[in-house]
Amino acid sequence: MPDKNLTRFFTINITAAGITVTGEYEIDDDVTKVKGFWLSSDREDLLFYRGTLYLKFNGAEWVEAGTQAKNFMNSSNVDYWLRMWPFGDGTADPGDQEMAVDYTDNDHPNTVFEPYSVHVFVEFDITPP
Amino acid sequence: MGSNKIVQRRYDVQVTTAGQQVQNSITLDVDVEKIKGVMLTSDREDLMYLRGSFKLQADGSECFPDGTPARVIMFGLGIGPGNRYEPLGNGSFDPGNMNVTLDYNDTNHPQAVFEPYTVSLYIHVNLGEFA
Repeated sequence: MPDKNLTRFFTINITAAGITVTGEYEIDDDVTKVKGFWLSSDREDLLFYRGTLYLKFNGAEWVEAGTQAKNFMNSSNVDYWLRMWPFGDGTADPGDQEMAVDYTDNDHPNTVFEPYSVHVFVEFDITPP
Repeated sequence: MGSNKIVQRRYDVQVTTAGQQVQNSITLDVDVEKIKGVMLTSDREDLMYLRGSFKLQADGSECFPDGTPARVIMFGLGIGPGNRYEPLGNGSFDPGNMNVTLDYNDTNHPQAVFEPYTVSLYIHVNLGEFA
């Protein structure tokens, strides 16, 4: 039976200006490949201007610290399956199944801080039950 | 056989005064096998879009000539993240001596009042097979 593609997400809550929050995510056992990820927020303006991140999974760095979050955001007119930043050609092995995002909020003159949530969407191939 | 690991590497340069010319001389990390492409962004994209121009060289060859408007390698959120770069060498540019040089020029524009801003050059690099 062919693998099935699906998207899961986890959320990082930013409660104070200038903080770094780590979101840790354990990749499910049914995952055969990790295809890529993207970011969204309930306050996309704050994510766009204020966010930087570091991402690693399976023990390897995939996004270096300080990379701007907007590089992984999409507007609604991007085709759904083009929204991810791919890991390799979209067929990374889940390995130890550990993914972590260190998200940092940075002051920006175009924004005033309010608490917001960052959603990390991750695309997978899974083996159907 | 595994796939190639593509990552973004960021190189910042500060524009502190109006009309300034700044140079960012970059030595790529030794783990870089190929350069896939480049993009520009800023903490003040409005200023870079209207005021910025640049020249970019890689491995001693001119990839973008002096005076190229910065906006030609800027990307909005309507482009998928994996496609937000201008390819160099059909997306597989040999880094050669590992040197990349960005000469960035700020130029006055009537619709953009100067304030200090940061220019970020992102180089999408291929680190070779990872698994």
